[in-house]
Amino acid sequence: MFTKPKLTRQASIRPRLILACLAVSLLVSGIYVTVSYRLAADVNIESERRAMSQIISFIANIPLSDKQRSPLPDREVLSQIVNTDVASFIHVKSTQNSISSAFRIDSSVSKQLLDITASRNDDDDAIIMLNDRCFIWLRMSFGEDTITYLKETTLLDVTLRLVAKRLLITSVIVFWIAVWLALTLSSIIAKRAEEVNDKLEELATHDSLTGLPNRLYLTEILRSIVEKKEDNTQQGCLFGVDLDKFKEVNDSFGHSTGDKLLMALSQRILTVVQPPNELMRLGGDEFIIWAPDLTIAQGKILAQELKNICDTTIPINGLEINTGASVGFAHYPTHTTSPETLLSCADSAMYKAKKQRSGWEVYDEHIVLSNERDVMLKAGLNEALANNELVLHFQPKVDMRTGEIVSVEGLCRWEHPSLGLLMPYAFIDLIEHSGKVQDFGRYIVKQAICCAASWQKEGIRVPIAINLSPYNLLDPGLIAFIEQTLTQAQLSAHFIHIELTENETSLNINYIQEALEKIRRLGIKIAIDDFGTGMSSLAYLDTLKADTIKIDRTFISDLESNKGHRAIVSAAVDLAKSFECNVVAEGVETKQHADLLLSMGCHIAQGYYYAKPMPEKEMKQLIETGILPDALAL
Amino acid sequence: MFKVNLNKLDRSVRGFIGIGVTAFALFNGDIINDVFIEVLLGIFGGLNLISLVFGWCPVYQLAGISTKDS
Repeated sequence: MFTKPKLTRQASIRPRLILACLAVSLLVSGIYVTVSYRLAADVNIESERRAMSQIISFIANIPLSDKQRSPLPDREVLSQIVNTDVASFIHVKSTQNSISSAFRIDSSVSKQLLDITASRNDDDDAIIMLNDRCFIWLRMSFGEDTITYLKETTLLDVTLRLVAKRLLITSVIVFWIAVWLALTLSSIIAKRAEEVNDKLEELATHDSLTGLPNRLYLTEILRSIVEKKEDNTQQGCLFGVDLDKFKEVNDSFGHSTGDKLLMALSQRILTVVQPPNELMRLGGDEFIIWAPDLTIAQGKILAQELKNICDTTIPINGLEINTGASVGFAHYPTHTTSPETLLSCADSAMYKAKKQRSGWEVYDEHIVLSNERDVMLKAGLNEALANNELVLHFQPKVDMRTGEIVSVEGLCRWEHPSLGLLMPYAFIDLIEHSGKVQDFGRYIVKQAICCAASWQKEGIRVPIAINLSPYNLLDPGLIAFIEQTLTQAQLSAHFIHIELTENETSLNINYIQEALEKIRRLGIKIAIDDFGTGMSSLAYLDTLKADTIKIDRTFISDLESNKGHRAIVSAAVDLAKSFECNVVAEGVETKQHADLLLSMGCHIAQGYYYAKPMPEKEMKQLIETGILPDALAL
Repeated sequence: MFKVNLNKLDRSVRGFIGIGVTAFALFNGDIINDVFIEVLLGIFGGLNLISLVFGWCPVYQLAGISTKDS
């Protein structure tokens, strides 16, 4: 089973936030412990020094008579003034002498201490550290006497103990509060973030119009297939659904109707696409369905269901709209073991269904092969035009009575560097859908004119006919181009004929008519190609004022057996006469064809019976030698 | 109001801490020597005792989280 894909998210912010709050609380506690400790220590030192200054003052103010004896009182007196339980040291320095008294301090230590105090100013640090013992000191001057009092102290330790005990407890509480704060904050933030993330995920993976999952969602599904590739039991079908006439609906009724149609249709599709199958919309009118655990046989059933459900009418704004859809699907892992190509396989199948109007199709490898070739050809088109890989081959139009070659038709061939000589059906469609149709038209015109000009120089005065589609005539610069090329080649326009294929009837006939008129005015003759097969042959004949009509090969191929076709050909010949047109029969392959055509009054023929399309060199040879007598009908 | 939002473990740990801290705040003798801190500890222990009694934590409620097995 496939689990529903999820967008990967960043890990929760909660642990980080808790960690941050704890770090901040630790830092704050640390700062407070330090500041409190220093504050308490300073206060204690200050009060201690005040007490010491009182003792010094007391010593300094000993009555003068005693003082003359000694500036320092007796040890007995001193021991009553100072606390002899702690190490202390008093030093009096006067102009005459200096005297000191120490309690619980070695003379070496006291000397060191005295040296240290001597090197310090009065307002320097009040604490002296010596051999891990801590002394507090004070020096005062009274006239000529300077009294220094040093006292060992455990004050800092006591302070630290006091402060530490209280701060430890408060720190624990602060810590606890910080954790609570972090929990609360992180929960609120995480909750909000989760909501926003959910919303964003919904937006990112779902289509805003239909609310269906979108392409990103599909990507996640495909990725989840990749991740579970080792699991050999999994399979599934990916369907591509594309509406057939959605563009027409959009164009005719507006986008809002199109949107409504998409919404209504997606709801209908959902009735046959039940979980675990997932319907997605990739954009436009393209839907994708991922059906896990579906075999090909089951996929075919679902494809038919999908086709049927899309083939129902949907009432929108009082209109009953039925667009119909083409469905294609590919099976994983039968058709491709790479989830990445699954979508393109389904698409290929869908395009095939669209092309064949078959409703639905299963993926078939051949589709891809031809598609790949098409892509390759399309990519090579530019180079082909630049490198003159597209060449003209020629097929003569022969006067059946005399064997004379009255003109030749230039037929395009692609001398592909790797695929060899390609016939037009392999690439004309590509050109017409590649946006290069006008470049291609000009290219052919140029080739034909250059060829005709070089022939003329060699004394071959046979016109060359080229095929142009109405698409080419839509090129606004074509006529100027033809004129210019003719002038450059110094070729009379009579040596160029244009055969108009009439496969596209929906194009602007007025515009085409105008373009043809201009071309005719240049002196170029116009022929209608494949006459009889198009939708508006007769209208063409009337409006386009063609000089020649070419009867389509389908009427000729079974001329001897098909009465109807004989009648059509005969009518076409009569019609041509009435319109004062020449008439040419295409696809003449046997002597019987030629005889029959002659008997109907059609004198000019083109076909394998006389000559196949051939390269320029052979064509020139043929024109010089003429059509062999045994090939002539006479 | 007192909607239970603590699971058994959470509740018993809090109860343990609450009893311990409250007892310490009340009967610490000369260890703390500071009424303010004793009051703080009392509040702190009291909150934990509330959690023990009701299985409810005000902070959890504010944060909208719950350790209770759903």
